[in-house]
Amino acid sequence: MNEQSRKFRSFALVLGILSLVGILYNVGAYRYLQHILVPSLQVIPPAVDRITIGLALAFFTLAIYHLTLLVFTLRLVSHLQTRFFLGAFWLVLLVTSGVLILSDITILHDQGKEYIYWDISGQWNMLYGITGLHLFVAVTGLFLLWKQPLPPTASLFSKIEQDEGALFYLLHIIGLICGLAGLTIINIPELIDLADRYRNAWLLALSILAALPFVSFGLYWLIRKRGPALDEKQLADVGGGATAALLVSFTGLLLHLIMQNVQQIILHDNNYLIFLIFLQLTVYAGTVALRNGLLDRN
Amino acid sequence: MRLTNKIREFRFQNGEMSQQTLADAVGVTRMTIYSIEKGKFIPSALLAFKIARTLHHPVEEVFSLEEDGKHYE
Repeated sequence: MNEQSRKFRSFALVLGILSLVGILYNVGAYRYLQHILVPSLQVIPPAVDRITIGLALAFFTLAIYHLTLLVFTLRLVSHLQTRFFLGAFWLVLLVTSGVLILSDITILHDQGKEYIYWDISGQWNMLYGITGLHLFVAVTGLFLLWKQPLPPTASLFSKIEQDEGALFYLLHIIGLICGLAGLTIINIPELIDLADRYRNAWLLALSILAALPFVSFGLYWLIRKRGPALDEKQLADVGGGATAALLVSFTGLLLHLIMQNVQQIILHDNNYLIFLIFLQLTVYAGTVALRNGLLDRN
Repeated sequence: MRLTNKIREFRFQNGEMSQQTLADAVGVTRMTIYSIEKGKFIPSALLAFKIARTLHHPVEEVFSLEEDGKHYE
């Protein structure tokens, strides 16, 4: 490991430890706020302002830590030759946790206005749930920083440019994981009676899962544009995946039309388009991954 | 009828050339060379000629058609 990588790792480890402290502080602050933010509260105590400054600092540290972990993870996965599923799964978790920091801030902001009018206990549950994800990512990140040897800093872009096919495969594993997770999560309201207060978190999770594979592939495409973006086999794989996705979605739409008219069954009602996106994503990414040795590689 | 090839054999004749070196020379990924060698992907005529040129052999020696155990070059 060179000097620059050593400094980067020390910086990331310090940030990780500070983030853990921040997460513990946040949990303590949530417990306190949950206790006092009730409709009967007359005057907001001055302690709340001080707590808010602490929360802002904790979120800032956590956000920087997530960005640092993202750079670290990208450097790691650009050299990945095995454990593609694990790498892709970690990347999806990390990005989801990072984006959800914004959701934490939004929920807390809403709670500050809404506690007077109605019960906000569901929002606290969401915050605890998301904090659990932050904690998992923070601890796993520290473990990885400690255990994994870090490739040189300058190699990230050049590794993407000179990708020998591993990154292309990894991107489609990310697509497959996001597609399958999306197809699972979209069914939650069908399976359990999801309260309205959880709908925002549900929709946000779906948005992250839908956007992540496309953004990742877009970035890969842009960087690879400096060299040849896709070779002829990759183009054939992408074409095969797209054809399979088209056929499945066409068949799915036809079946849906028949079910709607004959049995009056409407699947996913307003969310039908999102369902279709995840179905296409799963079939497309799964087909490309299969054509690149999904069954042999992992 | 299937397309067979002697890429692996000719790579080793050319100073034990790696898949990555051949891939870089013809402008594709290593995975593509691996898939062609294994017979999982049929290259375009352009790529087949590039591979043959890099391996210093005529294209009909590198690639051949096989049917019922018979080779057609």
